[in-house]
Amino acid sequence: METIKIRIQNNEGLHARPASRLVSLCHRFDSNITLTFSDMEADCKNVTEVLGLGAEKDDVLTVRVSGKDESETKKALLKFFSGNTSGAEKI
Amino acid sequence: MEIIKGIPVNRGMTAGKILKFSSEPLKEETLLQKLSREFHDLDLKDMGRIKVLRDSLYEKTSGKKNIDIEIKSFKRALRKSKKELVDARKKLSRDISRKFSEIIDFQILALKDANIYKRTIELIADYGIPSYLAVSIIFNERIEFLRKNDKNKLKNRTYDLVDLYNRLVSGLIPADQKKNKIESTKHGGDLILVAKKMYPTDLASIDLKKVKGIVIERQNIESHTSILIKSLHIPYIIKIDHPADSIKNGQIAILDGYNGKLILQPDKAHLKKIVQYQKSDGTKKPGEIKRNKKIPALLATVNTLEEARAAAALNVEGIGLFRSELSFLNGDIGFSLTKQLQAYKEILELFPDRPVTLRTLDLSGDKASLLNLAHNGPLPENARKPLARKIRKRQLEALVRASGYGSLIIAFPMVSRPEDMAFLREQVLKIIKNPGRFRRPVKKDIPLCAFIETPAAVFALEEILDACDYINIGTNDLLSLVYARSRQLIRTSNSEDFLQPPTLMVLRSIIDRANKRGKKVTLCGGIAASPKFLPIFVGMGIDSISVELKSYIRTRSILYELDPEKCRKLVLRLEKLKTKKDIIRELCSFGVSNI
Repeated sequence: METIKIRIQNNEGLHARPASRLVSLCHRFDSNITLTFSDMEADCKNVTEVLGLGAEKDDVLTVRVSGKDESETKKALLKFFSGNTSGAEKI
Repeated sequence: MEIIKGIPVNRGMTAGKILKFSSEPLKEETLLQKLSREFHDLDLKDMGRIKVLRDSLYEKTSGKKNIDIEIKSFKRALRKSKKELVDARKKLSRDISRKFSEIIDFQILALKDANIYKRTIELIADYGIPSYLAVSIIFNERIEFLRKNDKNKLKNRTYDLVDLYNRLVSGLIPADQKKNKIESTKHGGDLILVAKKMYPTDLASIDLKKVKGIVIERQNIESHTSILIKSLHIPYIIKIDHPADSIKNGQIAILDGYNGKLILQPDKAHLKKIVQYQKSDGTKKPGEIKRNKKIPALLATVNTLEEARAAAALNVEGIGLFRSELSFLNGDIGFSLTKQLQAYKEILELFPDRPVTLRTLDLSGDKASLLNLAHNGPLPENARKPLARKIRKRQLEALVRASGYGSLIIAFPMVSRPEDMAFLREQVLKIIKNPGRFRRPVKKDIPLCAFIETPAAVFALEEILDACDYINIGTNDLLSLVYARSRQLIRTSNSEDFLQPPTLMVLRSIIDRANKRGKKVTLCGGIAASPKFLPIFVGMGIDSISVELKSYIRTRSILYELDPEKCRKLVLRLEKLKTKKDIIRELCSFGVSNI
């Protein structure tokens, strides 16, 4: 299993647009990808669950990837979080 | 001529014919339609109503339907909706911008949501219910899921799901049950779109090139629809004080996005104004008359971040009072230092070069529920004071750190004793000296304001004035204590009841003593927006008045027209009178009854 910790940077928090971008990316991979925040867990391929976390600016979230293409998925996610459209940064 | 008022979101002014838009997707006949109407009227307080309705749907559904046909029709509706959404995205990308068209992606992805797709199919198969009922139930659940979260932004996002639900359901019912959304598109020329409610994809069904202004009765400033409309840069007002349904299609109107007005069947004077505005390429703005320097500045009293954003759109002269209590209660501002800093920064940045008075939490009396909220549960009596101290200190830290982002004035409620103000000043100075690690430098001279709300503060005013930079007369509390009436009664009473000699004496005493010490005075509370009191405030030489947003435009139009010298003489006459009746008679002869 691969794990990435991210911090939300967007002033608006993890709102619909960055959440949609993340979910679109996750749909390209077979691995199970989950996002945990506080005591809640969301399936990263499910946009309402991701949005339902209600993560706000400076909140720290954990992305967990498990499956056949987990290393490839992690690489793509790291690239996504290093860009400026994700609204989050890897920590 | 008829004038409808609302909250301006996008500034500008335009004239055109009214084009009514109805996003109500179905006729009101069946259970489905009832549910659809419930969704359409979705209100933050209506969770219970939706749950009851869902339960009744389970009970009332009888007889097994052809499961395979239902599943097929659901899948067909899904494909159709996806195609429509992709087309809407393309159109919005072309008409507005690619960046904003991404708003539609959320709905496209929600169609793939296993909780919607798989569970709807399971529900059809397990209960043998029609596909439209299964979709209704599942969307109810998803919407409830998002609404359980206490955050307003998430609640706004539920409207995207409602939009998607309407689209899916309209694909599941026979075509003859659907209702035309636009009443008529035969109009030529410029159009002002009027709607009760609009969803993001509704915008894609309209020829936006012809639409020069938009009015929506029920819309939030932060919704995706508002985000999309704001990017169109055309006049846009929301929350109008008149049902959109009663506005006639096709009539001529002027939309004034500066002052939040929709003028139906305008008279010659208004038509002349719009011609002048259009000729000046938008430089001759209405309602933006310059204020005489002797007239008090008109500031806004706001309670939430949303109101602050609306105040910025209204181009107010500043914020005279931001009561932070409600924002903490509704979760707009979190208790942590970072979350508070983020919120204060946003408010200050909304008003560059304009004063923003942020009042620290009032944790006294009925507002003690905030302590329970901060504690995540009921707090024992003996733990209240230490927690209140801790919260106040953290709020001061966040405010000091935010000071670099604008013209912040920190205000303190219920200051009654000079030593209280001196202690608070000392605390602020301590934080300024040692603000901790922080990117932006803090201001070294943050002005402090004391709220004068008790007779004790009036007696000790000189000493309090020495310890602060401004004072704000909180008239709701002060008058309730002067007249020994409950605060609630003061809020609901007619402001005329306070047109009495003691009110004038208290105000005169505070204003004159503050002026002697060179300190500025703001006045807020229920009487601040009262047309009968306005000439008195001007005549007494008050520096600024802070009014609720809903009264701002009306107060501005009255205040700016007043003659300071005439008001001064009026107050001198009023101060010689002994009864309320005489004061009101004198004010009427001055002309306030015509205001």
